[in-house]
Amino acid sequence: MNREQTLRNSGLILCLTCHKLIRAGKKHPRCPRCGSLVHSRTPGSLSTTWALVITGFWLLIPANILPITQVVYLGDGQPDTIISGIISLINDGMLPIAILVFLASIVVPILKLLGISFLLLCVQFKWTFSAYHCTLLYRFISLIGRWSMLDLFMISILTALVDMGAVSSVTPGPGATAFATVVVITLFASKRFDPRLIWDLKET
Amino acid sequence: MGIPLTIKPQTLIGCPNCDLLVQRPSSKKRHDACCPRCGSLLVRSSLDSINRTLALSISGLILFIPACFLPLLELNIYGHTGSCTMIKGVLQMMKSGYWWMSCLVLFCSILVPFFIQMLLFGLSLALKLGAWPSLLVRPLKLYQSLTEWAMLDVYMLGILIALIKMEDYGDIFPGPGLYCFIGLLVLATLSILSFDAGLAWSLIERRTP
Ligand SMILES: [Zn+2]
Ligand SMILES: [Zn+2]
Repeated sequence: MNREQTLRNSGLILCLTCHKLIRAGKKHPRCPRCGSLVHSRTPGSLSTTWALVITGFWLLIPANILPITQVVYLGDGQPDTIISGIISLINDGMLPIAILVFLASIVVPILKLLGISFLLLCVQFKWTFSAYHCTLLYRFISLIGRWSMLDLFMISILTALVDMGAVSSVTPGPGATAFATVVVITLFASKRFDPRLIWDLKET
Repeated sequence: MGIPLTIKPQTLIGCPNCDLLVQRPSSKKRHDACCPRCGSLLVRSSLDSINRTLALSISGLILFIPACFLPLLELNIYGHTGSCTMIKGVLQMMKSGYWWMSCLVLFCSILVPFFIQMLLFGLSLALKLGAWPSLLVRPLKLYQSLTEWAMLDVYMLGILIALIKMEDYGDIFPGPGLYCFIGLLVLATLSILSFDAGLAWSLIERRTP
């Protein structure tokens, strides 16, 4: 017996809420400790995650094309998209901040969507890469996702801080709504994906 | 191939990320246990979890009000002044019509961190007193589903970037709320780290008649 003993081939199910082990067998088992419905694999994980990822990719377009802020400084101002905001940060000589904003607003959402798509393709077409590294990728993606909220918090802070009527003001733009939706959708997508499906490829 | 009946399920734990069955490390060990196959963290050890969480969550709740309502940053552009608080940031965006974004900011930076501190306070107090075990199931589940939406650390970085970014435009200086916010961030992070959900679940199970 050199197969690793998994929960599934031991006839057990893990409750993802309270981490209790439950014997499989009943049709719709519930966790006796916390009352959650338990599943050996999250049902519909692939299709829901695909739907969320595709929506996320589509929303990246308005999030990057439409302005996310409208900055007025001493009477004159112009709308800024994510990219033009980063470029003006570089022009103002604030390279470290430009890099941080670039990472949080552009790299993280795109990396997250591409990473989850890669994992989904692996499961869908039974590509067998190192399952260990795929799980590492999944855990990394889940960890960094929340940092793309950075730009939204910054807009919120600046909107309140720079509120001097016609002289100087910062107001959000329509791109921010699309961007906020991308962030929420990617958070749900990584939550919905079941990483145990990657390991199932090794078993079969 | 079932597991032999001689092995009690209590001595085993499962990995949520790769489905591996792992022997539970003995409770005497005082360090974290990771999954041998995929490396995910399985058991986090925390000393004196309940008392620590209780103390940290009370202090966190006390700092919450000043952190929300006192100015985080103050700005002066040629005599025109402005200041921002967490609440004002949300209201201002709401006023310009971006209700979805302002609700999201309200949710992640104020509501969720506040509810988490309240839940941690209530849970650790009830676990300490040993009272109402069956009533704790729902709050504990709520706590677990909320933790990933608490983003005070991201907000902190947002404040720092706003502080540096506006330096070229006028005089900007940190307000009293910022010090309360930093304290709140530290306390909130420590209270989440010290709370042992696994211990809470097993106490609830043991005490439920
Ligand atoms: Zn459960
Ligand atoms: Zn594992």
